[in-house]
Amino acid sequence: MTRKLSKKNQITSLEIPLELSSCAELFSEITGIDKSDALLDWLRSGAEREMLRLVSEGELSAGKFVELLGITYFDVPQLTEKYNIEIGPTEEQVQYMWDKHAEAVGAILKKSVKSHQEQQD
Amino acid sequence: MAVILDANALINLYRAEILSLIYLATECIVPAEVYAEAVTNGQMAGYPDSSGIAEIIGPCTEEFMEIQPDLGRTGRGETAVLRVYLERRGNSFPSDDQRFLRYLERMERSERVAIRHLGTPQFIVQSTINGLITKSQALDGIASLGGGISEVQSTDALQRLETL
Repeated sequence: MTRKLSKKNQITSLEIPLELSSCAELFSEITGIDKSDALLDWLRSGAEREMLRLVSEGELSAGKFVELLGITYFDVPQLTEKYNIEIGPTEEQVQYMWDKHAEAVGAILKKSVKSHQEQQD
Repeated sequence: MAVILDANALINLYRAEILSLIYLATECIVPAEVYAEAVTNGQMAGYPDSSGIAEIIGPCTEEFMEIQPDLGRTGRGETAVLRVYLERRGNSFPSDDQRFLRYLERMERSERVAIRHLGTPQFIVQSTINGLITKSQALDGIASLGGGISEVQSTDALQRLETL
């Protein structure tokens, strides 16, 4: 269960197919969960899954994803697990970073350690 | 010379039990937007790791951006990391976000600038090579991240660590 940061809601009118409405009604009858709560839950799950898919395809950043859904970065690993969607750089991106920046980042780290030590002394 | 951290890197390095070691060995910068994502929002949502991170990095010392530039479907924290990087040259940062990395690559090509960055697991490997952490700390750290990083990244990092 993700932990929403915002409690703001917007009232909107939505035409729901009869079959979906019947499903929610039956779901409500069986589980005792309010029909509109169930529909909202399903809407949210769909948004989480589809937006996460966009993150995995590099169309949306993880930072934007958490902002849009009003959740935190800490929720992301459990959502990737829930929907079985892996996010992160592609193999080509990992190789690009190694080829292009690994040496320079290493040198920066080395200098950073040295200057930090000097500051501490 | 410093390491700029975004929320994902902070959380992953914390979970890998490497964040405190990086903080001890080098200067780290956490932009205010990142602090809000990893600490303030995490604490509001009741995640104990956010308080653990706060204990290591201390209070927020950076200022929020007055105007948020649009980097195209990226978050406030990622944008702030790039802003701090461009303002204070000579730094580097770890990032694991495909969209953000795509933006950085495009920017490097179009503006002919080098933006020194690596994925968090690759950053851990470089920290090992440069003596900030030991090989066993790096191996344990990457293993503890589990699903927090992609398989591509963990396989790559573990293979490189094995050769050290």
